[in-house]
Amino acid sequence: MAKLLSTEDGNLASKTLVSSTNKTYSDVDLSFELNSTTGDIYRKKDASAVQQAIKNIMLTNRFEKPFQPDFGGNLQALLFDLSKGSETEYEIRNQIKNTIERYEPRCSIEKIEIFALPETHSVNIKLKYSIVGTNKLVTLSTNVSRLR
Amino acid sequence: MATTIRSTGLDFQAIKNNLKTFLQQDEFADYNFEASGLSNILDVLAYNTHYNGLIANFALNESYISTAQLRQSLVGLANSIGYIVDSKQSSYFIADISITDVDGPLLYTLPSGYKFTTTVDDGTYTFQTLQSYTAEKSPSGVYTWENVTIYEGTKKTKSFIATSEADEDIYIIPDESLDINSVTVRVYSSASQSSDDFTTYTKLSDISSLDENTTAYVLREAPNGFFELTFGNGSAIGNRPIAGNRVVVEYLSVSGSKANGGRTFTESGDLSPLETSESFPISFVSVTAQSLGGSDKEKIESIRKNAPFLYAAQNRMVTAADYTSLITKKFDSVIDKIQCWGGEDNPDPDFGKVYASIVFKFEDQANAEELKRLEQNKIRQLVDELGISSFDIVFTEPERIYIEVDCSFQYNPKQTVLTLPGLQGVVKKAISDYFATETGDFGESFRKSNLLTDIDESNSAVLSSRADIKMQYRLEISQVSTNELGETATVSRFNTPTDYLISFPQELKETNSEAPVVISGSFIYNNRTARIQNKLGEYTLQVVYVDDLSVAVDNVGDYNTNGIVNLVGFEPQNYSTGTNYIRITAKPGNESTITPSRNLILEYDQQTSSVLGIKVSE
Repeated sequence: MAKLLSTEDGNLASKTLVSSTNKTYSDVDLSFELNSTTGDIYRKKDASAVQQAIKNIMLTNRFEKPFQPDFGGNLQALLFDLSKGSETEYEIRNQIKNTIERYEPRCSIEKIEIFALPETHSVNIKLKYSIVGTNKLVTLSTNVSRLR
Repeated sequence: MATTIRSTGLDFQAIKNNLKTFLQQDEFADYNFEASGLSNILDVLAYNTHYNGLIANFALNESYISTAQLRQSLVGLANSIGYIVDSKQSSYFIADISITDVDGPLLYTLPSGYKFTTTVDDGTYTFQTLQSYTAEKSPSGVYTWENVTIYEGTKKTKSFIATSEADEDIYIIPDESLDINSVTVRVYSSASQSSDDFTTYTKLSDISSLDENTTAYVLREAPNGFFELTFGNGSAIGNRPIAGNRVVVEYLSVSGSKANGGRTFTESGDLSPLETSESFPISFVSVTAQSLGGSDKEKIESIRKNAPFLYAAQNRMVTAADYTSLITKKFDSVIDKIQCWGGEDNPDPDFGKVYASIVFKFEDQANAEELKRLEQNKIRQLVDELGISSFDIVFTEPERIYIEVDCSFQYNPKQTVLTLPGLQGVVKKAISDYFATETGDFGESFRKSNLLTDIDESNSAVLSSRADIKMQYRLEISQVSTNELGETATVSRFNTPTDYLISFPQELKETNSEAPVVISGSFIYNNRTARIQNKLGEYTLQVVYVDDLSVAVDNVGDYNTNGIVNLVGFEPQNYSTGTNYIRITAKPGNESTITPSRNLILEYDQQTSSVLGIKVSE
């Protein structure tokens, strides 16, 4: 029995087939603010979902996450011995790099810059990364400081 | 230890995965990234579920005697079935004390509360008399108090004013070191403590009947480690203090087992008779033994084991097991091993009596016999209180049957770096370990198959093993006599014809024409070294000289296959050099299992056992 193709499909053998999987990331917004229109909490999607996850990693200390003692950037302990160009900066960079590589497979780190601010007991972190599977390059800049 | 309820269903990761599966839908997608906000929310949910699940699990475990792990849970559960958990117990020593006062009165009193101190392991402990003792003056002016029992601890008093009946008072004594056996409870009719207007209450477990006039109290440990005192309800379950009464509790706060082992005691001060102001130093005539009998609060495994037995016994001595459990409970601090049985189970049935065989913890102390007699008298008192039949209790000494093992094993020298003596040493240790683990207490059996398994597993080079088993009784040529005061004396029976009945726990082998079944170690007879053995092919026992095997006594008794060796008119001259007993060895009819009954305990005799390795090549 002969197999017929529709007129629209034409001769498939002569056409280039393009297929793709559209992978989206979506997460709850941890600020838990309500969307005034729907009454639901906001969603974080794609790059902003990944950015929220990276912030989570950096702001979590070891032993904070139940049954995953190694999870987290563990930066808190490093904020007590800050000076410009010191080993602490190098150590902070390493901690961030290793933890993100281990726990956040959705991004690929391009560059990490650490600026210690001893007078305010804080660190400015500039992180440049790309979202895996896309061409999107994101820069995240944040300050981490001691509370007391 | 008891098996706890399994908690595999409470695994954190499993709970989190279940939640993930349940929640996954189109709205959110990042459940599988550990750093995502969703993962954080799942952590909180799973942790909460895990935490609540564990609490429920622990609470359920703590609700049963068999699975509870916290002492306070076990104490509460034991209390609910009427089991009073043991408190700390006071250590004590017994001494004869004297004082010399030529001008003193005729009678002289050693007062209650007279203190002594001793040091054990760098700790100082105070002992004191709990009653007064009176002594009469001797012609030389010496007063001697004999058998004075002196207890460790500090005397303390707590007073309470009873409130109305509706309050159902529980009186709390906030002292974890209270010795429950030292407590006296007095109820004064008014709030002021007048010396002669009081009623003394008795511990409930020491009385056997209860009505509205019974003045009994219950004192038991509370879950927080303190002690709770309660009374009856004023009617059917006993009398109670009424509103306005003063309840006075006196007790010893003790150090428990830490005070055991004191040897040198120092009196706290001189004594003076009432008539003069002059005082005189006291001196110890003798201290019968080092301080002993102190024990700590009952351990949780002991509560778990004893509470159900005591519940079954219902604080009444009816069966042999009741006697064992109740005596153990009361005298745990001094008893090492105990076995009770009915007299009807004896080879010569003795109806209407209960037999008890006890190994005390102080057996190796000087004057252990005297202490033993004191403890036995206390046990008799307990039996009088709790026995519901008029059964007498008879104490018999534990007897030991020694097991001799002649072991041979085959081994492959290529599978070990050990030499033959080294390998034989390993096997010897395996045999000793087997007996140390499996025997040594009343009722613990010897099983040959288990022993051979241990030997085979002692080293990979051991290929197979076999063992010949013999039973050995150590006959002492003396008799123990007991006078009407219960005092015992050992009388030598050398050169005196005496009958001895030896009962082995296993049937003996039938006689044969190849080797004797019953054979003894050597002893001196007619100034020559001799031994006992059965005539080949007969059950009659003979005394033969060791050097030429000539017969000294043709018939000195016989044996039978029921395990009885009967020596008649046996009169050795002495033990052979270096021993203080005569070994009587017999071959069992069935070597597979030897189970000791009644007062018998099995032990291993390494000295007469042998181990031989035989090399095989493979």
